[in-house]
Amino acid sequence: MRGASAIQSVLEQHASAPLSVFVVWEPVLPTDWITPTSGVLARIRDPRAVQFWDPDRRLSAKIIETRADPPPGGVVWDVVAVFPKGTRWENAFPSPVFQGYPVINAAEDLRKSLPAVLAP
Amino acid sequence: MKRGTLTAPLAALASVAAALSCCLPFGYLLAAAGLAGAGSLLEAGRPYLYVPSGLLLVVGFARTYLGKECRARRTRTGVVLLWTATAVVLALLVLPRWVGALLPRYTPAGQPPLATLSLPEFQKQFNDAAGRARIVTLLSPT
Repeated sequence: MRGASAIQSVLEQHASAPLSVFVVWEPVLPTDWITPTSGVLARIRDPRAVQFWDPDRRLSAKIIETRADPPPGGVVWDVVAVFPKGTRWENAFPSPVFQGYPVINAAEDLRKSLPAVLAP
Repeated sequence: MKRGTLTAPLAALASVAAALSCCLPFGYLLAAAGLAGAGSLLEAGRPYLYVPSGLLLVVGFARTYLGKECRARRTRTGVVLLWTATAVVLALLVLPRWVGALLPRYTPAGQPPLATLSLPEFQKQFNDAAGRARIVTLLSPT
């Protein structure tokens, strides 16, 4: 969950940037038994965020379809990706211009990647 | 702090706990159910909260059905509470998704309500936001 807080911190540094944020919570660890609580959801409080609960890890599976090498454990998680303006998801999940994991370690690179993506 | 300074209050606390456990055995049961309930809210701590819940229930059953050192009567209320607490703990343990689903989930102010992910809907929202840069993150709740 420190990753979520790290993303919130990056968003605060780009508070006025035209961004959409998709937060997908999925069960990965043995302790992920139930839908994330309000306390967990509050970790990312930026109003530009939309939060989802993906109990069957469908998005992870969809992303894996586009990868030549499956991720460790067969699950895409604790990852953050950035898509520039204009990118559309047509047949396959699109490739990001930046991705990093674990999120807590990728937060600084995420912050650095945003100005280029947000440039007009 | 001198040893006596610390042990005296600890002994007093232990004595009170022992007395309460004898006269009010269903205190254990409320604690058991409470710990299990807290476990449904505090995901990361759940395994650690269920262990004392189970132990407290065992103590409750022992006090109710096996206890001989107490003279307190086994009351109908106590038995009902014991089995109610057991049902609550088992429900939280065995059916956490269903029990957890009963709890409200609130997203922070300004965000839409939490949605269960549907790929077509997610894809639509992703494409609808194509006029802006987007961040997508996949996270574990704990």
